[in-house]
Amino acid sequence: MKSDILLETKQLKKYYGTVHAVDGVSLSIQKGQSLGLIGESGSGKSTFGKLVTKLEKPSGGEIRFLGRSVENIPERKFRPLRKEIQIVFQSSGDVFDPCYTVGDSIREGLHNYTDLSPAEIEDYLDETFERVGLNPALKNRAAKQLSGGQCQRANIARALILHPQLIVCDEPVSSLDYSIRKQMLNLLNKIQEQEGITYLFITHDLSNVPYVCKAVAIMYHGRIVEYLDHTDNLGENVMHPYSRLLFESVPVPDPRKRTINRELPERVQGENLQKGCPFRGECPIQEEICAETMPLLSEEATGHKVACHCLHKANM
Amino acid sequence: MDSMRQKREKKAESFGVQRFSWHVIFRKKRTIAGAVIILCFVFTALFAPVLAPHDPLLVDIVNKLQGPSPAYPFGTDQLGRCILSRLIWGSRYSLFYSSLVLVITVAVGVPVGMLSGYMGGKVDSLLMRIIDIFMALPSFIVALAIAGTLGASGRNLVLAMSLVYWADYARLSRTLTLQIKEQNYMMALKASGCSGVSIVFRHVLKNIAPSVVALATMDIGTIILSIAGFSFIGLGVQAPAPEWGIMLSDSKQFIQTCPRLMFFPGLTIVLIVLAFNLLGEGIQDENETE
Repeated sequence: MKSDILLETKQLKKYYGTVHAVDGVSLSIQKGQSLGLIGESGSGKSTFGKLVTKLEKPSGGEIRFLGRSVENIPERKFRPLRKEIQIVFQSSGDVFDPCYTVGDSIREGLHNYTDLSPAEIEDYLDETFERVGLNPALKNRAAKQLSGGQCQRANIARALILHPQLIVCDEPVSSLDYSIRKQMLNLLNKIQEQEGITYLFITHDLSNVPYVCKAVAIMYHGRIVEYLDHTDNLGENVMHPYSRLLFESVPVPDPRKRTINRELPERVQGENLQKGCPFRGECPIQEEICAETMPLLSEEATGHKVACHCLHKANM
Repeated sequence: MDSMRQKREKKAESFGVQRFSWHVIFRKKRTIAGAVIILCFVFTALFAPVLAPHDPLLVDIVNKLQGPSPAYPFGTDQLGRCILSRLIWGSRYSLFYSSLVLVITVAVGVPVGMLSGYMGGKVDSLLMRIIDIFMALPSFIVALAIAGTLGASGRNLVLAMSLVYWADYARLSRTLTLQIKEQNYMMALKASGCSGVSIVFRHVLKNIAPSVVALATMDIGTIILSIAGFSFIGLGVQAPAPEWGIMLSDSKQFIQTCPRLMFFPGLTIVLIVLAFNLLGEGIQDENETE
């Protein structure tokens, strides 16, 4: 159903000078189908998150949010839509203005979008704090007086309090230690189920994804190399050689089960990236065509798109 | 037990959100000394009519150039006016004019600087060129030009100094705004739907305020000195007003015969400038250690 599409990008691009951070990404997120966007550092996944929330200006392409084309509308006109698309940032401590308490910062969103009375705002704030598992008394503290986990919960509370339809989670758990990560992921999951909020879940940690997401896109050098509309048995289902490498790179405690034995060769760099497959430098199965033509996403199975010239080799 | 609790409460206070808390600033004795001296001067200026033993303008030629006595604690000047009373009334000129210059420069400079830094691009380039022009103007030449065209008076001196000094605040605010704009919370504010106006005036302003206050406190000493200096050479407040610079200027012919006439106004100016510098440095130190 077309009306269920929350967010859709077409050939979205962001160039910083000669660096192509996001280079023609076309994705769509349906209501209730949280999408995991996986990629290594510098793959452009965070930039993509900032582009769709209009915190960065795209260099080209289209963004449709709730059926409206938003890539070129001025901030003044986009502001009413911001209520529906919120973002949870990676670094939690410095996303709160140090001059105000955490509560003040979160209240500000409510002031901007609702005309509740101060008492109602206070009630609602307390309720939201409780929903994310925070003691409401913490609202009177500065961000630097909270622990990392508390900060990230407050961060989620700030996004949640406006009841958005889509929350972009930009590495929401990577700054936390493992025991808290699990709690946060459970919390995100609970919110998703109870409130019907959809996520764009940006991460480099593959283990998080099946937990929260129903679809997965894998990004390499500003491009989507693989898209799957389910997350069952991800490690076995992915086909692109880069995705395979990603899954093999997950550290395994048992040394006998470790699978990467080969040296990783030099990556393709500089201007060569613009021509041919950007992954060809490291690719174990490349052919001549890979250096010449950029592979495009093509549907290999239902709901499974891969951008690779040499898939016939990969599946051997 | 009780003192433990007090200590803990005190610690909790110092941990608060306000990065600009008074009791942190006044940790050093020098800073307190500066603030106390300033408060004394403010008090003197406010209650000048009560505190001054004589009319500062009352000429009493018979009593001219008298030494200190119970009736005239600092003696009298060449026209027999009470020096102490003139100094007390003079604090009004120095404090009033310097605060006026400061209020105007901050009120103009800070918003212009924040706008320039926040908007960036062409607006920034344009505003920066304007700021550069004003920064290139020497205050002395501007004061001379304004005194020449509009006449020499305290009001025109304030105009001349404001015209030159606002650019400093604009430049500082712009630099600080540029730094704050790079902070992550700016993006978060935008994401939670804050308008540019609210971001600039609620968040940027509050974050740059400590630095602006530190600069202003440091500057006020310079401004007081300049006002006295310009009045000394006749470009500012005009005689017979009991202004410190004028008192110095009037007494320069008696420097050999009656150095007391120069000593007291000079000492007063040194004292107040020193006090403002002590306070300003104290605030700046605390900002840096943060």
